[in-house]
Amino acid sequence: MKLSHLLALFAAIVLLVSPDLVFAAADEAAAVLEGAPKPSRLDYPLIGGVSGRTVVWSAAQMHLFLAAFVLAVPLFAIATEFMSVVTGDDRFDNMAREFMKITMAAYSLTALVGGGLLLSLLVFYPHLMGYMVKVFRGQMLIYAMLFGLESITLYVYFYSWDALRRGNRKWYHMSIGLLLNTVGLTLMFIANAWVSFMMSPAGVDPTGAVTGTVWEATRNPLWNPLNLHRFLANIAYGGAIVGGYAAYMFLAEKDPEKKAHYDWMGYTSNFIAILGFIPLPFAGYWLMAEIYAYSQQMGITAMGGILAWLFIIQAVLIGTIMLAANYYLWSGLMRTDRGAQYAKYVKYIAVVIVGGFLVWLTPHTLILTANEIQNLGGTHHKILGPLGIMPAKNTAVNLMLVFTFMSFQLFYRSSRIPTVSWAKSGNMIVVALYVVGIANIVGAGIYGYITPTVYKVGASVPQVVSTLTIIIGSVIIDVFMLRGAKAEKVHWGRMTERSQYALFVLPVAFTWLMGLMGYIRSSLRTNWHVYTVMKDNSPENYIPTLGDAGNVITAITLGFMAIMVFVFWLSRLGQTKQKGTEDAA
Amino acid sequence: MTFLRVIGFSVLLLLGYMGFAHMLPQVVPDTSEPVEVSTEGLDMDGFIALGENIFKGKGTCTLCHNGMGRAPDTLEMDMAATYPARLADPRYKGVAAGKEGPKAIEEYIHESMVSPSAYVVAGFGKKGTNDTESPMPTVNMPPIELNDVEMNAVTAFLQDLAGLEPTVPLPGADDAPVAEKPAVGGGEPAPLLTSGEAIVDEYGCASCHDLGGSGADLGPSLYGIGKRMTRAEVIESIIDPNAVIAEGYDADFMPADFGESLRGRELLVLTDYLMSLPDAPPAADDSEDEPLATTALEAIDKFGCAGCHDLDGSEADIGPKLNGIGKRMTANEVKTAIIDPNATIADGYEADMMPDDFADQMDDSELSLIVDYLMNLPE
Repeated sequence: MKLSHLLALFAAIVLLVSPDLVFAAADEAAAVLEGAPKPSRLDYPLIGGVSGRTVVWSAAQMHLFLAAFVLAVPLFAIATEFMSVVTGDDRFDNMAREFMKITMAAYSLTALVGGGLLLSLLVFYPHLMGYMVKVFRGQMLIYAMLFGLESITLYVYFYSWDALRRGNRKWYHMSIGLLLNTVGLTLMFIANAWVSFMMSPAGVDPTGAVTGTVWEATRNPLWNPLNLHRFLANIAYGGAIVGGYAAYMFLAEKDPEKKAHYDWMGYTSNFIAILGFIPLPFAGYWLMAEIYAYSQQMGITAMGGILAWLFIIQAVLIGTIMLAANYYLWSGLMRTDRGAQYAKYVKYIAVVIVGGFLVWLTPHTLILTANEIQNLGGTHHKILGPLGIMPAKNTAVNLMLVFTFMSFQLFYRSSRIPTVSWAKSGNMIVVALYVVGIANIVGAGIYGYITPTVYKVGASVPQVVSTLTIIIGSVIIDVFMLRGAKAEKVHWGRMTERSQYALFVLPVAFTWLMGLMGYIRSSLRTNWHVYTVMKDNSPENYIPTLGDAGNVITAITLGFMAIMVFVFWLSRLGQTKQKGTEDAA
Repeated sequence: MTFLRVIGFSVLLLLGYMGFAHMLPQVVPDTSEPVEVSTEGLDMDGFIALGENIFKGKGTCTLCHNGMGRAPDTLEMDMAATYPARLADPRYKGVAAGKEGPKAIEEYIHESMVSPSAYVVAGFGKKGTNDTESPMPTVNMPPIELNDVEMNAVTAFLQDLAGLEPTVPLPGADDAPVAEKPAVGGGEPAPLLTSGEAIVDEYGCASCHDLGGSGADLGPSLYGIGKRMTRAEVIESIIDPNAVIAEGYDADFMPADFGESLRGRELLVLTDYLMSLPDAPPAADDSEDEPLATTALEAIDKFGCAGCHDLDGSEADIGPKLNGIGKRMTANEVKTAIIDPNATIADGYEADMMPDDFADQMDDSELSLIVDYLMNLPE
């Protein structure tokens, strides 16, 4: 393929994804002042006692799991490929290709489940689908076309890997990868527009009549917060899944060389997962702030009402992820000979991570029965209650992130001895960054207790800034300070088997967490298909109990795990050759 | 083997998460369909009670108007002093600006519901709007959708709360019915009760009042109440039983939380039922006697034991708790305590509280069923 052809293709895509074409075509002509449908309970199809909501819920969540994976992996595949070009290290290139190989097998399953989701929506919620098509019009067709383009670019990107591996051709290949990611992200943004519209409709009047353009419906108040949140979560999720794959391969392989490769792959995947995960609480914070800004009632329903207990489970899941990721990093210290000298800090980091986890776990505003209030001696626990409010939780989560980064930094430092003359000063600056940053996080947390609610929210901003300053400042100093550093040998593969199980915790907990978050996001609409515009009058328009939701989420996660086992098996099958055929050839 | 270990580990982890979800309190949703209730004939006290129910229920007002600082804590503030101050506030330019009196306050309250940004209490505005925009939803729009009657009821409640005589009109025959539907905020709502008998049964009224032939006399007989009291007085005596105490009865005896536990529609249905009761219990007719209970639970239900005793979670405390009684008393003692309750009085309880005619009312088989059941009740 010539460069000019690629450029023409790229230009066509850019034209296609420009807002005017994708989001606003023929809007004026399509505007129809007819309100949203008002189906009665009897208008919802009942098919053999099957729970329509559970079918749609399962299909949507499964599609989301797979889509998140197949959209995220190309993102860090191209980043890894870029690393191979910059460093000249083929290991990065091989790993990027291996990432994509796993994606290939998952891609068609994503489309298959997506088709199942569409069918189930049409069968069980025809009025809602009819309305959504009326609002988003041609955008849905463009979505389908983009899906086709995504398929083409994905296949071309993967199958041209070896043909476009060296020299200038590598840049052509990366351009295809860039195109693939552009289309993939556009697909995600469009799908996000639909779900965020259902939460915070725009471009329609109070009766649901379409009064605005498709672009107006698309850029509804929660669209961008959701885009950012899902973008980061997808990266973390994709990293976690690939990390699980690498851990399994590490355990299964006997060849030390391959074991070392998969150990390195596991470390890199964990790094990617945590890289996506660190800013995720801030993105989640923005999303929740926008939810409050859009509808205070919706925000309180989430954080202080019927869904409040869910955030206790969320804390447990995130706590598990943090502990597992840190445990894996601490185990990694044994890969280097100098790692032992840093191991002494691990116990202190562990105390902070566990302490932060416990604070995050502390409930505060919950719906209590009269008996529970009586037993508790009030609406909040006298001693633990103060740990349940936002200043304490914000402090806890920021400290957990800072100390997780410290775990990373310890491993990184264990394999490099700085040789620059200002190394001592550099180290002192890094220590000062940590001390001042942590003091600021704790100080802002204490300030949060003595200030009105409105300023409590504001107090979290300097905490976030402190966390990011520590991380970014340390990275910048390390980059310069460790330039030309004496490299210590990293014994890839020198890891315990137990440490690999920490890598399994990540995908399992992430998947369950995504399922839980999907349940929360959807439940926020309470008994509305499209909040305030189109009521859900189906027999299943209520918020299921936490236990029921837990059953469904667990079942979907098990299904997803089964699919991923199949995908991993497929990707291994591609490498397997029949005994004797190699010799015969 | 590695594969099985990995799968086993992952599945165990998943089951752990699922188990944790089950360990937490389950907020059971109210899946009942919304019903509509006519408010025709409701007097002002009933209307105020309805307003309180809407304020705490369908209106979801207490979601923000509480002590958490998201909105003024209307239920706790001194609104009698607050309303005039707001009307006189130079920042307020709404329909009641500069006016005085209850009617002006009614206009102010109504405006704050349908146009919340007309006046934003300092410190409670949307972030970045300098208190010019309120985060409160317009209550007659989705998702709350109160109708005019419901908003008037809330206004009446808030005026009453401030010690003012409500100025809103009472609902008439042509007014929209009041919708009762599951509150968005959750909780553990019981199924909506739609008949007077069911409500009386659920809340155990006949355990203390003579009703349905119970003959109980801990509270005044409810027969003929429609001739002795107005509808408003009946409503008041249900939601605020200590407001007026009937002669010969004590204060603080009847639970004071029916205003919270009864839903708006239930309060109205119960009141209608009580007002329609005849002057005296129907004449005893052997042919219409309640059928003989054939199980212990039927017998306990028939004689209303759980109305006074904490029995299997009823939490009543007029009489001693019955769970674990088999460890404290013999079967004969239990039997005696039923048919001659004043023979021995448990510590902390008074004589003459329990009906002493169960010996006449109960068949021997029913008495045996109850005694056997109680003796085997766990602690």
